[in-house]
Amino acid sequence: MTAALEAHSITKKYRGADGVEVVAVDAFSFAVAAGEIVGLLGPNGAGKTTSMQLALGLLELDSGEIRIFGGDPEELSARRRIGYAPDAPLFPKSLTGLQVLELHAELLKLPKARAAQMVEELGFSEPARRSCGTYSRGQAQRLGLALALIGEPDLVLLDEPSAGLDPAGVRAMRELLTRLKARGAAVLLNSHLLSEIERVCDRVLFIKAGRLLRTHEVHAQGGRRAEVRLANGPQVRERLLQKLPDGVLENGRFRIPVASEDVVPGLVRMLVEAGAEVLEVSLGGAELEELYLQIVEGRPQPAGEPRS
Amino acid sequence: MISWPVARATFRERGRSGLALALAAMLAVSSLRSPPGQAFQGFGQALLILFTLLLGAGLLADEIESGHAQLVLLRPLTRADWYGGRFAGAALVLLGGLVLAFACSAGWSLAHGNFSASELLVLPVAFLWSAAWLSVVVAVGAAARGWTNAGLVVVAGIGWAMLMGLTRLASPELGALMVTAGKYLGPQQPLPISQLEPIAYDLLWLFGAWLAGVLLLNRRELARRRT
Repeated sequence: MTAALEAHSITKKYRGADGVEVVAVDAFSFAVAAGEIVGLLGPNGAGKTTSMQLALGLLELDSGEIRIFGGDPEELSARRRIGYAPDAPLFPKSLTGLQVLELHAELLKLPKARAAQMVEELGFSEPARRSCGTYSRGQAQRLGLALALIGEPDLVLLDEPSAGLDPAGVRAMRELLTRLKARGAAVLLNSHLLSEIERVCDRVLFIKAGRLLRTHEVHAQGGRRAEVRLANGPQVRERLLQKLPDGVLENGRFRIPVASEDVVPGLVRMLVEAGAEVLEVSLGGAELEELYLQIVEGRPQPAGEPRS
Repeated sequence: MISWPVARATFRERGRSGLALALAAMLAVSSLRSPPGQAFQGFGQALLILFTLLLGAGLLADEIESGHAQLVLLRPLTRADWYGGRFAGAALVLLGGLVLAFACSAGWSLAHGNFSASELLVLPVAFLWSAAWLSVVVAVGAAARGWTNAGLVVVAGIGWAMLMGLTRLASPELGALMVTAGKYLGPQQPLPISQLEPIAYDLLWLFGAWLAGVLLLNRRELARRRT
């Protein structure tokens, strides 16, 4: 099956103000298939936004190739199927959010009513009637998201979509991504929220200085991890590791990959049967953070930690 | 060539600018006591060029630098369509201002019984001249940042005028040559209408600058750099 987005060895260099050449993206290759959410993770300046802009043709490639739905990204028919929400978008100050959405609906040859429908779906009715010049960052972000999704695109590129959103907005964002995936859209997501990436992404691409460091299959490799704080960890170490060999016991915390939160009660039962005194159980987040620190920041892997 | 949804949005956006409305009102008021043939000459001409510069200032850059142009250009339309839509939207505001001023002037003349039907030609000719200048300002904006496109056109005009003045002082013959050449360095004022050459020349500037602007925009990287 053809990937929705393929980047083959894309490279982009800038000349800085001091005349020194900076390699923003360095022979970076990746693909996003239909029904897949791929996350881009890396420090500031890693080349995540530049990679998205290259994929969309907003920047010219120095070398490499981009294919969208197997074809040239400049093809107008392909553009009908793309949605892009940039980080911190700005809109014409004298137009209302609804007018901006109506413009994009017209450009996509959709009925104007689709704009109002989108506004309703995203719970944006009140701000949509106001001038864009009055928007907070979060409201501009929501309008950007509405613009990205108005044409029901098959390929969606989201650059820091949760930045500036309130907790309800972040939750709505997560649900939206799940819906996009369910209807078979391909999503490339750039976010600094590791917990969000871990929850929604199928794959994570770790990049630094424009280079791909590692690809991490989130769910295939037990993307969720249970962390159990024990009162008597050292005393039950042998029994625990015998019963649950995938786990790691360190500093009184027992960590183990789990397929989903459904297995947590069973896990706690097993721990108790092995004689462990359970103080606290938490799920998710930690694994990706550890991986990020190891891969991107180069911190050493804790002893006994399985590599993914 | 022209995206009409973009043109409509641009018309709304530029037409609501307080400065543009103020200049259109000033142009209309200044036309009240002049017959249409003179309404867009002298002070009226200066106001019209100011109005044109204001409408063209940052017409492309405002959208590109805010990042909205990038979102629009990801839709199924070409850069030329977008450029044409932005230009057409601003030109429609310009036309609106001119129609208002012309109506004031023609109304005044009619009230005083000195309006002639031939003066109806003044409106399209004045529009052509100002639209040609708008086209030049927008074309410069395809490569310039912010509102510097209008500034660059003004600076170039002042610079040329100063150079002509100095040259005439030093060498009257060369100065006269520069005055003749200067007529061809931008759209020519066709009013009062006495010959067709300036009209044809303004048409050339209008479409020539348009083409140059599209070519420049096609070479421009559109991604908004993070600071």
